[in-house]
Amino acid sequence: MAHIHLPDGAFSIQWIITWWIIAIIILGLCLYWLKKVKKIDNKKITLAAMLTAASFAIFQVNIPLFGGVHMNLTPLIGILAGPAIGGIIVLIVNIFLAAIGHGGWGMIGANLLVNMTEVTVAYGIYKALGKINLDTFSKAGIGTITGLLFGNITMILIILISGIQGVNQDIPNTLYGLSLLAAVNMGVAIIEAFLTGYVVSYIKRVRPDMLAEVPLLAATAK
Amino acid sequence: MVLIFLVLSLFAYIITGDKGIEERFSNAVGLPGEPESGDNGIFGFTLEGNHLSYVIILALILVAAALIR
Repeated sequence: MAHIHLPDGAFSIQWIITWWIIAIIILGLCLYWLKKVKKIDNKKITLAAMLTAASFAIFQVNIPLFGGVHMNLTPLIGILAGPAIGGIIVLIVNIFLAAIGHGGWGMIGANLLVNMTEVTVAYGIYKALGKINLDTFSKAGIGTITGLLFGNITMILIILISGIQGVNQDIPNTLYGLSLLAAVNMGVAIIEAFLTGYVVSYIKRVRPDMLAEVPLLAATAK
Repeated sequence: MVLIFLVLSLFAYIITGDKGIEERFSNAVGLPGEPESGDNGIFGFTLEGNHLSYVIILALILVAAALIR
């Protein structure tokens, strides 16, 4: 949902490098987790590949709502695959997106942080709500809305911190404009929440083992 | 919560006007945004970016997923 739709050159090179470095550190932690703590098997790799395809496919589809928006299924990735595999998935999706002109190459690092926030928060909320007596649809839906809300907040913070090159607009006006943009995004987040809730509850019904594959991070830590 | 977000979203849409996602983003940060035009797609659903590359990359990911399986 939240995605920085800015061309290369909008951020200064210092900020592009900064966001890339932070993203690489987080990805390094994801890879370390998958290698040392939570071993990844073929089943999970297949799931990751399918989620990559689904996310990439839907990311590019412009939905005729509020003038044109798109979904990205990052909360679904988080709930089904967890943050560690999710981080790798959103990296691959963002690289492919940049390759076909959806967002600049330099924006991949920043967009990775936005999408990682969505993946991680959605996963965390879904797992946290597991302790409460809520149905799967509600847990996934609330996780999705919260994840996308935090994704939008991260997007706004990254843009405000980085600043836009060649633009004279002051910070309060940029914050106002981005808040309106995020508000429009949250309307679409509702639709994505229903979609994610439905998909997760369907999977829980027909393949409950897929959801059982993602234990709490703390529970699997050595 | 759903209703609050929907009402806020509708207000934001009315304030910002009927724009495509790229144009809305450019206007939000103060960049000159060009109106998005092009095909109307299927029932208004359109594909962003290069269509051929999209199909090729999607096919490659699906083939990779099938091979891993």
